[in-house]
Amino acid sequence: MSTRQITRPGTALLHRLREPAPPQPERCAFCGQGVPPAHRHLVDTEEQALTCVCTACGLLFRQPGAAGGRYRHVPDRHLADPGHRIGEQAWAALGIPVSTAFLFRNARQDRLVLLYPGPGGATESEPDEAAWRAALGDSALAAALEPDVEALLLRRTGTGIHCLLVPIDACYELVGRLRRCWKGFDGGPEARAEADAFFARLDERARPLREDGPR
Amino acid sequence: MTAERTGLRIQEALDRLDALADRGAREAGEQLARDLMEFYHEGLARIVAALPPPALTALLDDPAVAGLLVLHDLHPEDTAARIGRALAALPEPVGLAGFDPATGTARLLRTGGGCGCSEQDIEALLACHAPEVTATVVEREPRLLQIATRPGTPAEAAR
Repeated sequence: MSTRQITRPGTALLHRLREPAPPQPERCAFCGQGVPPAHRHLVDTEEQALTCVCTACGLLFRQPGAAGGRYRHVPDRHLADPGHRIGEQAWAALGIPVSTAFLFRNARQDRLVLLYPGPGGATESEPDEAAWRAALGDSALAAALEPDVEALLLRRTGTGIHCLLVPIDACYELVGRLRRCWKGFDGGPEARAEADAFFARLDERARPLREDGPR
Repeated sequence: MTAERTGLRIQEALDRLDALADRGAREAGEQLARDLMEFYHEGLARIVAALPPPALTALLDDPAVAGLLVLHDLHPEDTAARIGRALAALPEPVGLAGFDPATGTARLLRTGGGCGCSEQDIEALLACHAPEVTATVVEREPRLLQIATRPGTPAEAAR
Protein backbone atom coordinates (compact mmCIF):
# COMPACT_ATOMS: atom_id res chain seq x y z
CA MET A 1 0.00 0.00 0.00
CA SER A 2 1.61 3.24 -1.05
CA THR A 3 0.66 6.88 -1.46
CA ARG A 4 0.27 8.12 -5.01
CA GLN A 5 0.91 11.81 -5.38
CA ILE A 6 -1.23 13.48 -8.01
CA THR A 7 -0.08 16.64 -9.76
CA ARG A 8 -2.49 18.69 -11.81
CA PRO A 9 -0.56 21.62 -13.23
CA GLY A 10 -3.45 22.61 -15.53
CA THR A 11 -5.98 22.75 -12.71
CA ALA A 12 -3.50 24.57 -10.49
CA LEU A 13 -3.01 27.20 -13.21
CA LEU A 14 -6.76 27.72 -13.58
CA HIS A 15 -7.12 28.12 -9.82
CA ARG A 16 -4.29 30.64 -9.80
CA LEU A 17 -5.90 32.58 -12.64
CA ARG A 18 -9.10 32.84 -10.63
CA GLU A 19 -7.22 34.85 -7.99
CA PRO A 20 -6.75 38.56 -8.59
CA ALA A 21 -3.54 39.35 -10.45
CA PRO A 22 -0.58 40.06 -8.18
CA PRO A 23 0.48 43.70 -8.41
CA GLN A 24 2.88 44.00 -11.32
CA PRO A 25 6.01 46.05 -10.84
CA GLU A 26 5.88 49.13 -13.03
CA ARG A 27 7.94 48.88 -16.17
CA CYS A 28 9.85 51.30 -18.31
CA ALA A 29 7.61 52.11 -21.28
CA PHE A 30 10.58 52.00 -23.64
CA CYS A 31 12.73 48.99 -22.70
CA GLY A 32 10.29 47.00 -20.55
CA GLN A 33 12.73 46.82 -17.65
CA GLY A 34 11.09 46.78 -14.20
CA VAL A 35 11.52 50.13 -12.43
CA PRO A 36 11.72 50.79 -8.67
CA PRO A 37 8.75 52.51 -6.94
CA ALA A 38 10.60 55.83 -6.98
CA HIS A 39 11.23 56.08 -10.72
CA ARG A 40 11.19 59.00 -13.11
CA HIS A 41 8.52 59.94 -15.62
CA LEU A 42 8.31 61.47 -19.04
CA VAL A 43 5.40 63.54 -20.20
CA ASP A 44 4.00 62.24 -23.47
CA THR A 45 2.91 65.56 -24.93
CA GLU A 46 0.93 63.86 -27.71
CA GLU A 47 -1.15 61.66 -25.40
CA GLN A 48 -1.10 64.12 -22.50
CA ALA A 49 0.04 61.32 -20.25
CA LEU A 50 2.84 60.41 -17.87
CA THR A 51 5.07 57.54 -18.94
CA CYS A 52 7.25 55.52 -16.55
CA VAL A 53 10.88 55.44 -17.58
CA CYS A 54 14.02 53.71 -16.29
CA THR A 55 17.13 55.76 -15.57
CA ALA A 56 18.91 54.69 -18.75
CA CYS A 57 16.02 55.44 -21.12
CA GLY A 58 15.30 58.64 -19.21
CA LEU A 59 18.79 59.88 -20.00
CA LEU A 60 18.18 59.36 -23.73
CA PHE A 61 15.17 61.63 -23.61
CA ARG A 62 17.07 64.40 -21.90
CA GLN A 63 18.58 65.36 -25.23
CA PRO A 64 16.59 68.30 -26.49
CA GLY A 65 14.49 67.24 -29.46
CA ALA A 66 14.71 63.48 -28.71
CA ALA A 67 11.79 61.55 -30.27
CA GLY A 68 10.75 64.71 -32.07
CA GLY A 69 10.10 66.36 -28.74
CA ARG A 70 7.14 64.14 -28.05
CA TYR A 71 8.46 62.92 -24.68
CA ARG A 72 9.67 65.48 -22.22
CA HIS A 73 11.71 64.58 -19.19
CA VAL A 74 10.11 65.58 -15.89
CA PRO A 75 12.72 67.50 -13.85
CA ASP A 76 13.29 66.82 -10.19
CA ARG A 77 13.37 70.34 -8.77
CA HIS A 78 11.05 71.60 -6.05
CA LEU A 79 11.09 75.36 -5.65
CA ALA A 80 9.47 77.79 -3.25
CA ASP A 81 9.34 81.55 -3.42
CA PRO A 82 9.04 82.77 0.17
CA GLY A 83 8.83 86.38 -0.95
CA HIS A 84 5.68 85.90 -3.02
CA ARG A 85 2.21 85.99 -1.51
CA ILE A 86 -1.15 85.21 -3.01
CA GLY A 87 -3.97 87.16 -1.44
CA GLU A 88 -7.35 85.70 -0.50
CA GLN A 89 -9.00 87.80 -3.18
CA ALA A 90 -6.70 86.54 -5.90
CA TRP A 91 -7.33 82.96 -4.74
CA ALA A 92 -11.09 83.47 -4.79
CA ALA A 93 -10.87 84.82 -8.34
CA LEU A 94 -9.25 81.57 -9.49
CA GLY A 95 -12.55 79.83 -8.65
CA ILE A 96 -10.99 76.70 -7.16
CA PRO A 97 -13.70 74.84 -5.21
CA VAL A 98 -11.28 72.88 -3.02
CA SER A 99 -8.18 73.80 -1.04
CA THR A 100 -5.62 72.37 -3.47
CA ALA A 101 -5.02 72.89 -7.19
CA PHE A 102 -2.19 72.86 -9.71
CA LEU A 103 -1.51 74.85 -12.82
CA PHE A 104 0.71 74.02 -15.75
CA ARG A 105 1.30 75.31 -19.24
CA ASN A 106 0.42 73.00 -22.11
CA ALA A 107 3.00 73.95 -24.73
CA ARG A 108 1.35 72.18 -27.66
CA GLN A 109 -1.95 73.95 -27.12
CA ASP A 110 -0.25 77.05 -25.73
CA ARG A 111 -2.64 77.39 -22.83
CA LEU A 112 -2.71 77.20 -19.07
CA VAL A 113 -4.41 74.21 -17.51
CA LEU A 114 -5.78 74.27 -13.98
CA LEU A 115 -6.53 70.97 -12.27
CA TYR A 116 -7.77 70.16 -8.82
CA PRO A 117 -8.10 66.84 -7.00
CA GLY A 118 -11.41 65.21 -6.19
CA PRO A 119 -13.08 61.85 -5.67
CA GLY A 120 -12.93 61.07 -9.39
CA GLY A 121 -9.30 62.08 -9.88
CA ALA A 122 -8.20 65.39 -11.34
CA THR A 123 -10.83 67.82 -12.58
CA GLU A 124 -9.77 70.30 -15.23
CA SER A 125 -10.91 73.85 -15.42
CA GLU A 126 -9.93 76.69 -17.70
CA PRO A 127 -8.33 79.33 -15.47
CA ASP A 128 -9.48 82.85 -16.02
CA GLU A 129 -6.49 84.58 -17.64
CA ALA A 130 -6.96 87.79 -15.62
CA ALA A 131 -7.37 85.90 -12.35
CA TRP A 132 -4.29 83.83 -13.04
CA ARG A 133 -2.25 86.93 -13.90
CA ALA A 134 -3.39 88.63 -10.68
CA ALA A 135 -2.51 85.62 -8.54
CA LEU A 136 0.71 84.40 -10.11
CA GLY A 137 1.47 86.31 -13.28
CA ASP A 138 4.25 88.37 -11.73
CA SER A 139 5.76 85.60 -9.59
CA ALA A 140 9.26 84.31 -10.16
CA LEU A 141 7.99 80.73 -9.84
CA ALA A 142 5.61 81.26 -12.77
CA ALA A 143 8.50 82.66 -14.77
CA ALA A 144 10.65 79.61 -13.96
CA LEU A 145 7.91 77.09 -14.77
CA GLU A 146 8.83 74.61 -17.51
CA PRO A 147 5.84 73.91 -19.77
CA ASP A 148 4.25 70.42 -19.69
CA VAL A 149 6.61 68.94 -17.10
CA GLU A 150 6.34 71.24 -14.09
CA ALA A 151 3.38 72.69 -12.24
CA LEU A 152 2.59 75.36 -9.71
CA LEU A 153 0.96 73.56 -6.82
CA LEU A 154 -1.31 75.76 -4.75
CA ARG A 155 -2.72 75.03 -1.33
CA ARG A 156 -4.90 77.15 0.87
CA THR A 157 -4.46 76.56 4.60
CA GLY A 158 -5.27 78.49 7.77
CA THR A 159 -2.01 80.41 7.39
CA GLY A 160 -2.52 81.56 3.82
CA ILE A 161 -2.08 80.36 0.27
CA HIS A 162 1.10 78.46 -0.43
CA CYS A 163 2.65 77.92 -3.82
CA LEU A 164 5.39 75.50 -4.86
CA LEU A 165 6.92 74.74 -8.21
CA VAL A 166 7.02 70.93 -8.41
CA PRO A 167 7.52 68.16 -10.98
CA ILE A 168 4.16 67.47 -12.60
CA ASP A 169 4.25 63.80 -11.63
CA ALA A 170 4.17 64.90 -7.97
CA CYS A 171 0.83 66.60 -8.66
CA TYR A 172 -0.65 63.45 -10.18
CA GLU A 173 0.71 61.40 -7.28
CA LEU A 174 -1.13 63.75 -4.91
CA VAL A 175 -4.32 63.42 -6.97
CA GLY A 176 -4.02 59.63 -6.80
CA ARG A 177 -3.43 59.63 -3.05
CA LEU A 178 -6.36 61.94 -2.34
CA ARG A 179 -8.70 60.08 -4.64
CA ARG A 180 -8.32 56.94 -2.56
CA CYS A 181 -9.45 58.60 0.68
CA TRP A 182 -11.67 61.44 -0.56
CA LYS A 183 -14.98 61.81 1.29
CA GLY A 184 -17.67 64.43 0.86
CA PHE A 185 -17.20 67.84 -0.76
CA ASP A 186 -13.81 68.84 0.56
CA GLY A 187 -12.18 65.42 0.97
CA GLY A 188 -12.78 65.04 4.70
CA PRO A 189 -10.26 64.63 7.52
CA GLU A 190 -8.52 61.59 6.03
CA ALA A 191 -7.80 63.34 2.72
CA ARG A 192 -6.69 66.41 4.64
CA ALA A 193 -4.23 64.35 6.69
CA GLU A 194 -2.94 62.70 3.50
CA ALA A 195 -2.47 66.12 1.89
CA ASP A 196 -0.75 67.46 5.04
CA ALA A 197 1.77 64.61 4.97
CA PHE A 198 2.33 65.00 1.23
CA PHE A 199 2.90 68.76 1.46
CA ALA A 200 5.23 68.27 4.44
CA ARG A 201 7.40 66.03 2.24
CA LEU A 202 7.31 68.56 -0.60
CA ASP A 203 8.20 71.43 1.74
CA GLU A 204 11.19 69.47 2.95
CA ARG A 205 12.47 69.06 -0.62
CA ALA A 206 11.66 72.58 -1.75
CA ARG A 207 14.54 75.04 -2.09
CA PRO A 208 14.02 78.77 -2.27
CA LEU A 209 14.17 80.08 -5.81
CA ARG A 210 17.15 82.33 -6.47
CA GLU A 211 16.67 85.40 -8.59
CA ASP A 212 18.83 83.96 -11.35
CA GLY A 213 16.57 80.89 -11.33
CA PRO A 214 18.61 77.67 -11.18
CA ARG A 215 17.64 75.28 -13.92
CA MET B 1 -12.85 19.18 -22.00
CA THR B 2 -11.76 18.87 -18.38
CA ALA B 3 -10.39 21.68 -16.23
CA GLU B 4 -6.99 19.99 -16.24
CA ARG B 5 -6.80 19.79 -20.04
CA THR B 6 -8.03 23.37 -20.38
CA GLY B 7 -5.41 24.50 -17.89
CA LEU B 8 -2.67 22.64 -19.73
CA ARG B 9 -3.68 24.22 -23.02
CA ILE B 10 -3.65 27.68 -21.47
CA GLN B 11 -0.23 26.90 -20.01
CA GLU B 12 1.02 25.98 -23.49
CA ALA B 13 -0.29 29.25 -24.89
CA LEU B 14 1.33 31.22 -22.04
CA ASP B 15 4.61 29.41 -22.65
CA ARG B 16 4.48 30.55 -26.27
CA LEU B 17 3.88 34.13 -25.10
CA ASP B 18 6.85 33.78 -22.74
CA ALA B 19 9.02 33.00 -25.73
CA LEU B 20 8.16 36.34 -27.34
CA ALA B 21 10.47 39.29 -26.92
CA ASP B 22 7.70 41.46 -25.53
CA ARG B 23 7.84 41.16 -21.74
CA GLY B 24 4.30 42.31 -21.32
CA ALA B 25 2.89 39.54 -23.54
CA ARG B 26 2.73 36.91 -20.81
CA GLU B 27 1.01 39.28 -18.37
CA ALA B 28 -1.44 40.31 -21.08
CA GLY B 29 -2.18 36.63 -21.78
CA GLU B 30 -2.81 35.89 -18.13
CA GLN B 31 -4.99 38.96 -17.81
CA LEU B 32 -7.03 37.83 -20.79
CA ALA B 33 -7.70 34.46 -19.15
CA ARG B 34 -8.46 36.12 -15.81
CA ASP B 35 -10.94 38.53 -17.31
CA LEU B 36 -12.77 35.83 -19.24
CA MET B 37 -12.94 33.59 -16.17
CA GLU B 38 -14.21 36.47 -14.07
CA PHE B 39 -16.89 37.22 -16.66
CA TYR B 40 -18.02 33.60 -16.80
CA HIS B 41 -17.85 33.31 -13.03
CA GLU B 42 -20.33 36.12 -12.53
CA GLY B 43 -22.88 34.65 -14.90
CA LEU B 44 -22.35 31.12 -13.65
CA ALA B 45 -22.81 32.21 -10.03
CA ARG B 46 -26.20 33.74 -10.90
CA ILE B 47 -27.28 30.65 -12.81
CA VAL B 48 -26.31 28.35 -9.92
CA ALA B 49 -28.13 30.57 -7.43
CA ALA B 50 -31.27 30.62 -9.58
CA LEU B 51 -31.40 26.87 -10.33
CA PRO B 52 -33.83 24.79 -8.25
CA PRO B 53 -31.64 22.52 -6.06
CA PRO B 54 -32.87 19.26 -7.68
CA ALA B 55 -31.98 20.56 -11.13
CA LEU B 56 -28.49 21.47 -9.94
CA THR B 57 -28.03 18.14 -8.17
CA ALA B 58 -29.01 16.29 -11.34
CA LEU B 59 -26.05 17.91 -13.12
CA LEU B 60 -23.42 17.11 -10.52
CA ASP B 61 -22.45 13.68 -11.82
CA ASP B 62 -21.40 15.21 -15.12
CA PRO B 63 -17.61 15.59 -14.81
CA ALA B 64 -17.57 18.70 -17.01
CA VAL B 65 -20.20 20.46 -14.91
CA ALA B 66 -18.67 19.33 -11.63
CA GLY B 67 -15.20 20.46 -12.68
CA LEU B 68 -16.47 23.87 -13.71
CA LEU B 69 -18.46 24.38 -10.50
CA VAL B 70 -15.53 23.28 -8.32
CA LEU B 71 -13.16 25.61 -10.15
CA HIS B 72 -15.55 28.50 -9.54
CA ASP B 73 -16.27 27.59 -5.89
CA LEU B 74 -19.92 27.11 -6.81
CA HIS B 75 -20.27 23.38 -6.14
CA PRO B 76 -22.96 22.85 -3.48
CA GLU B 77 -21.36 19.74 -1.95
CA ASP B 78 -18.43 19.26 0.42
CA THR B 79 -15.24 17.41 -0.43
CA ALA B 80 -16.34 14.02 0.95
CA ALA B 81 -19.59 14.09 -1.02
CA ARG B 82 -17.74 15.02 -4.20
CA ILE B 83 -15.15 12.27 -3.70
CA GLY B 84 -18.15 9.97 -3.29
CA ARG B 85 -19.50 11.07 -6.68
CA ALA B 86 -16.13 10.43 -8.31
CA LEU B 87 -15.90 6.95 -6.80
CA ALA B 88 -19.49 6.10 -7.66
CA ALA B 89 -18.67 6.62 -11.34
CA LEU B 90 -16.03 3.88 -11.27
CA PRO B 91 -16.83 0.47 -12.75
CA GLU B 92 -15.88 -1.31 -9.54
CA PRO B 93 -16.75 -0.46 -5.96
CA VAL B 94 -14.20 1.82 -4.29
CA GLY B 95 -15.06 3.39 -0.96
CA LEU B 96 -13.71 6.43 0.85
CA ALA B 97 -12.02 5.55 4.14
CA GLY B 98 -11.06 9.11 4.92
CA PHE B 99 -9.79 12.42 3.56
CA ASP B 100 -7.20 14.58 5.24
CA PRO B 101 -7.61 18.18 4.04
CA ALA B 102 -4.20 19.12 5.50
CA THR B 103 -2.28 16.78 3.22
CA GLY B 104 -4.88 16.37 0.49
CA THR B 105 -4.65 12.61 0.94
CA ALA B 106 -7.70 10.43 0.33
CA ARG B 107 -7.63 6.90 1.70
CA LEU B 108 -9.59 4.69 -0.64
CA LEU B 109 -10.90 1.24 0.00
CA ARG B 110 -11.06 -1.21 -2.86
CA THR B 111 -13.74 -3.71 -2.10
CA GLY B 112 -14.09 -5.33 -5.49
CA GLY B 113 -11.84 -7.68 -7.36
CA GLY B 114 -9.44 -4.90 -8.18
CA CYS B 115 -9.30 -5.32 -11.94
CA GLY B 116 -12.19 -3.13 -13.04
CA CYS B 117 -10.40 0.21 -13.05
CA SER B 118 -6.92 1.65 -13.00
CA GLU B 119 -5.41 4.23 -10.69
CA GLN B 120 -5.57 6.62 -13.65
CA ASP B 121 -9.33 6.17 -13.91
CA ILE B 122 -9.70 7.03 -10.23
CA GLU B 123 -7.43 10.05 -10.55
CA ALA B 124 -9.18 11.36 -13.65
CA LEU B 125 -12.54 11.30 -11.89
CA LEU B 126 -11.10 12.85 -8.73
CA ALA B 127 -9.57 15.61 -10.86
CA CYS B 128 -13.05 16.61 -12.07
CA HIS B 129 -15.05 16.16 -8.89
CA ALA B 130 -12.54 16.76 -6.10
CA PRO B 131 -9.27 18.31 -7.29
CA GLU B 132 -8.33 19.06 -3.68
CA VAL B 133 -7.38 15.37 -3.50
CA THR B 134 -3.69 15.54 -4.32
CA ALA B 135 -2.67 12.08 -3.11
CA THR B 136 -4.36 8.70 -2.83
CA VAL B 137 -3.69 5.66 -0.72
CA VAL B 138 -5.56 2.64 -1.93
CA GLU B 139 -6.25 0.01 0.68
CA ARG B 140 -7.73 -3.39 0.11
CA GLU B 141 -10.34 -4.77 2.35
CA PRO B 142 -9.23 -8.36 3.10
CA ARG B 143 -12.47 -9.33 4.80
CA LEU B 144 -14.45 -8.47 1.76
CA LEU B 145 -12.23 -10.60 -0.42
CA GLN B 146 -13.59 -13.57 1.45
CA ILE B 147 -17.03 -13.02 0.06
CA ALA B 148 -16.62 -15.69 -2.50
CA THR B 149 -20.01 -17.22 -2.32
CA ARG B 150 -21.73 -14.48 -4.28
CA PRO B 151 -20.95 -15.61 -7.83
CA GLY B 152 -22.11 -19.04 -6.79
CA THR B 153 -25.73 -18.10 -6.39
CA PRO B 154 -27.86 -19.66 -9.09
CA ALA B 155 -29.13 -16.37 -10.53
CA GLU B 156 -25.61 -14.99 -10.93
CA ALA B 157 -24.23 -18.21 -12.31
CA ALA B 158 -26.85 -18.21 -15.04
CA ARG B 159 -25.49 -14.97 -16.53
